[in-house]
Amino acid sequence: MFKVFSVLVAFALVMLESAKVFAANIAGNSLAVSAAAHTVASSHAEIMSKSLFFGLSALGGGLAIGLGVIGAGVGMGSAVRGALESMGRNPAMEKKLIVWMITGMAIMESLALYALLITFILFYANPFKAIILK
Amino acid sequence: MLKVPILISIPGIPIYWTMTIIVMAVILSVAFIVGKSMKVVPGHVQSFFELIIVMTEYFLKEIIGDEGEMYLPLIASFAIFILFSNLLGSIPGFTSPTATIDTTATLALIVFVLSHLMGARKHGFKYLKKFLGPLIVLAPIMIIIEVMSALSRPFSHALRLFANIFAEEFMVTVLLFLLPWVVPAIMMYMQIFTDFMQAFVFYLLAIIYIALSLESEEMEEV
Amino acid sequence: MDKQFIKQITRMSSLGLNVIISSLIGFAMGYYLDKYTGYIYLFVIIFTLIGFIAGIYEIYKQIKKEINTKI
Repeated sequence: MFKVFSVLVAFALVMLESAKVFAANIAGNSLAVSAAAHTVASSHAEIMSKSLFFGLSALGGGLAIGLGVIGAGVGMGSAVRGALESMGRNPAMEKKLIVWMITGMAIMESLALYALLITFILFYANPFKAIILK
Repeated sequence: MLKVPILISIPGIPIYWTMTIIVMAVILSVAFIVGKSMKVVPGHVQSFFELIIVMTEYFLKEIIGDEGEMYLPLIASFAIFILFSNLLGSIPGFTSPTATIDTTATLALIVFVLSHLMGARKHGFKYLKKFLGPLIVLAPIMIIIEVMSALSRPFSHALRLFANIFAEEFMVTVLLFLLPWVVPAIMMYMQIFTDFMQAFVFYLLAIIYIALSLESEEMEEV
Repeated sequence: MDKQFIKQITRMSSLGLNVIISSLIGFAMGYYLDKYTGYIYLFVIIFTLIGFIAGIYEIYKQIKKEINTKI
């Protein structure tokens, strides 16, 4: 788990640093060269910021559903295990236990659905898209 | 968006209209042929249709009660229509009409309007008391909550069938572009179980929603 | 087949979707009310919270009914 986390942190750092370096590069260039080159450089910066925005929101959407489903899956697994164990001890309670298990699983499923909702919002109806695209 | 290759597509009208008409034609012709030559000892096709009708009769009688026989034509035709249109997606070159939200929303809206109309007709003015909640002091807040939870039923009813069938179709399409050999065909025929399951769940939820609005307030307290 | 058993299972399994859909309905209602009245984010927040409460209340009602029925 620590390995994955450290890889993710390193990835995010590289992303942030690359943006800074790119911006500094553009600034240096635009100071040095003429006004015609300045528009080219600023369009480069725009393309870079757009691609960074869309790439990061796609990454965020994927991570949201992936990490969200881990918790719901673990919870459902432990719920089914508990129900099956107690069903094995006391088979007379079988039907009551199945109904309660499904109730609990529905509530856990709603948590996974919230993660899915965030993924859909990031993919199809991104609220910050208007700021970037102007 | 990726798209599956479709055999019959008339330009100008949406694909699911043609698919719905194909399903309707198949069901009507099968019903006509079977109904023309009814036997005392049923064959394969006749016993399948009889199974659906007998099962519907049983569930209506058990869940709604004696007044449930009235809904037999509607619910049984729901079952047959949804089952056939789910299974149509398993034939290469066709898609399920239930893989669009329009078809499922239509079916769910029919159930929603019908259940509330029949509930209002049975209970009269007392039907509005269901929306007021237990305490009369909290009624202005509870009415919003009850209306919202009543409105969320047809949405979840429609969305469940749509999402399951659409996910199946989309998975096969994505697999078809990733590795176009044996695997998509296997996945396509794994779905038949899900098709039956979702048709059954939709049909049972339709019966349960009608039963929920028909049952009286006193029964809930017990 | 047990009628009460199937009824309970089908009703319980649709609760998870109900929570999220009722909060979405609340969001939509708040959004259009905001557009109509001119407030910024007032009704959206209130109605989303009410929608979430509606989902939880639906679960509470079903659980109360489930406790009262015998299988």
